[in-house]
Amino acid sequence: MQNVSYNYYSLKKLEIMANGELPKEFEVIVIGTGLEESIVAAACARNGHSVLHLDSNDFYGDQWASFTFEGLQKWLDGSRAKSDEKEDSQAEPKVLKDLLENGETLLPLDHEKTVTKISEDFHAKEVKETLKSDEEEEERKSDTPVVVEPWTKAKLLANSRHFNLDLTPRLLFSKGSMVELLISSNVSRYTEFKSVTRVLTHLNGKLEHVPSSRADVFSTKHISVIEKRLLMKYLTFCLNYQEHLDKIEPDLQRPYEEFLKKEKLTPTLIHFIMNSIAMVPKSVNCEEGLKSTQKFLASLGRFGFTPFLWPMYGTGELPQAFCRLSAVFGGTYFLSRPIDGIIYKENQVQGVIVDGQRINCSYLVIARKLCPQALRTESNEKQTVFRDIHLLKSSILTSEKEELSFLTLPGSEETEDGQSQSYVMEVGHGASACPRGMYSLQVNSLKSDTFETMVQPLLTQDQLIYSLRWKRTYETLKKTLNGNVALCHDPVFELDFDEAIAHARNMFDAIFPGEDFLPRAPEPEEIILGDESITAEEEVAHDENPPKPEERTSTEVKSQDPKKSEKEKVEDDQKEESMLTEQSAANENEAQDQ
Amino acid sequence: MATMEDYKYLFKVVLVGNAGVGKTCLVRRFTQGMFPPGQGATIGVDFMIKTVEVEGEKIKLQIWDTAGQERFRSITQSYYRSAHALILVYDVSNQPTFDVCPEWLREIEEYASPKVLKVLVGNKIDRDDREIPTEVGEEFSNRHGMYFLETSAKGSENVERLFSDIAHELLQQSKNREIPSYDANSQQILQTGAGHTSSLNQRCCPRS
Repeated sequence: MQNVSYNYYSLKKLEIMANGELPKEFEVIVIGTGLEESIVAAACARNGHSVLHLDSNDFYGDQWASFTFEGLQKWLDGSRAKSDEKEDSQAEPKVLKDLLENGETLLPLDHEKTVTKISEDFHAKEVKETLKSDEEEEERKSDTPVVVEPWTKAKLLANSRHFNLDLTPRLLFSKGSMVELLISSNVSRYTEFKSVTRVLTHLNGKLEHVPSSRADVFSTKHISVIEKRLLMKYLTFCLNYQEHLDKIEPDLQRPYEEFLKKEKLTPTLIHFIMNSIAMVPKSVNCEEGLKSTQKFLASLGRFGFTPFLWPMYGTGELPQAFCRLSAVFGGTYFLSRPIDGIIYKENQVQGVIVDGQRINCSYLVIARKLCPQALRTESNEKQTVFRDIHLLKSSILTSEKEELSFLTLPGSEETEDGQSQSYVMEVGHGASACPRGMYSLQVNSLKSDTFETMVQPLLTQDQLIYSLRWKRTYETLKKTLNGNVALCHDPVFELDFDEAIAHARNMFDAIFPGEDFLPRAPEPEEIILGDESITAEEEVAHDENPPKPEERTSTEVKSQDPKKSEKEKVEDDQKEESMLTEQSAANENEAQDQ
Repeated sequence: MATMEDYKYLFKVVLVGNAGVGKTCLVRRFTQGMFPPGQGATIGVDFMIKTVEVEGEKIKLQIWDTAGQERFRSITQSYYRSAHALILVYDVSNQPTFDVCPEWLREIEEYASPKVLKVLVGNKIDRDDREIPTEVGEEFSNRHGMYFLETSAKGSENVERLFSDIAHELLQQSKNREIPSYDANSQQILQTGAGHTSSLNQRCCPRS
């Protein structure tokens, strides 16, 4: 079945080649290039289903995008201007009507305004900064201009391309769902990461380094030897707490904090564990607390000294990575084109009209906020995320080297909801977030006053170059498929991508039940097409799915080289496993070396 | 596995240019030694690999194609990240594919490393309906600090030379420590060393 649709798509692709136009029909049309949309597009194309992926924006990622400074300014202009009744269509209504068949209606896309309360500050003062001699030396090597003039708007714009500023900054747990998905699907080949180098917490009015790894615990100067021993003992217990369930059973439903006290941990240690390791609110019960602590610990030591990874060039790379996989498997990409509307008949979406052209589909995957009201079935409570981006001249906690920091700010005492913490990341030039010497402070919060109460006290006016704040609303969705329409979330409030991946997976499972979700794409290294001498010995491998190269070439109507056949052999499934073990071994070595 | 392979350098080479200028054909001609007439076969193939020997060093070239995203000008910017060399291809018998080169350059300058080795390639010189004279392409490349070559993927003219010159140039840069030399023992993916950056560190000089 999969092979049939695969070949079908190969022909479709040739049709595009011939006409320079879009085919008239796709199995799946995806509107919006947010992360969930992109994962679904990749999963469908990967299994040979024909996919058309559309976005009326001229950039990938929608609310998941990362921008250059200029790109950010353009996005702000667009968000300020965007009204609820924005019309995408540029074609004459009459022309569009002619594309409809009997009984069909054309539903224009909705454009719910989700970004509001944008406030922007350029803090630059007209003071000349002195040039340090080591910076001067850097100048020759670096592509980043040395700071001599204040960072005015003009100067930020002139250095625009040195910025990758995220609309939705996220960290990845090293053993979290995104890392696992990237590895198992081989989408990891399009991504690079930096390890978060330190976990910070706000304690007694100061920022402190949270000791998380064994090495950290032993080297830290902030806690006593007795505390070190207590902490190590407790963390070791948490790693395998399931083995001691009999002992802790009575405490499981009681508050986690009480349990920590019972374990004789000191207030400082309890603060570290609650806020920075488990990252749970005070109200959480022991079972949840242990689970969260274990999640943190399980991700330690895989890639670095903290459990977290930061995507190089920003979160915006991730939807693009899935889009690339989708394109490699035949997905068609069509950005910055007006989407005139969705063709609807008898509770089913028939297709879409894009750029004045009608394209039919069996399934529509669409961002909720773009989906016409008539096709939305559920209405859930709106959630609000408060976002800040601050560009800083120096780190919130200076260090000898450039650090990539993660700071969890606890929720205020009175909020008892499950997610009252705020996630703060500070990234610098090493992660390509901003020019050398500058830091980008990213704040994500569910509370409107986080900046005033928690973040501002960490900063000095001199330190600030630029501040941007906005508010974004989203709805959480429970239903995965309604008729033949699947709705995608805007980013929900989370640290990693667990919910986004789970929702994308559910949508895919509902559309193509029983199919593999993003099976491993063949390693390009398995298709070695080197010198004759090498080719003769090397065996070209391929995956069971997609089909063999022969099947692919069979669709090449005008093939002039009928002898073209690649030596092939199904590789051991062990390959992936060995990669993982090598990888972790390499990292262990790296860790030991340091 | 990549970790066990016998090469000392790994370079990422990325192709751009309008649809139909022969990007995939150039890669296939170079990596497989043949001229492919149809392109449905590129499905599932992400990038091609060929190991070449320059000055006695084994160099692995990882050559990335656009996966069709150029057709509607929808290339992901992440495609340009970490490229060591960028080949901008036009069709010498098709004026519009040359006229659009400044637009491609703008995209390259926005997203690729500023030090990426840029190569302008006029392909399909086997055709007798040439519209862009060699001097015009050469002049454009000089103006934009690009290396220039005319090729025929069909007749294989200059195809080997194109990639071996790129390998040669990147090797020189790498030996001069101008760009990070990839350690064959490290993983390309999920590479997370705190000191790891993938961008090039020095502007390369155009050759002619």
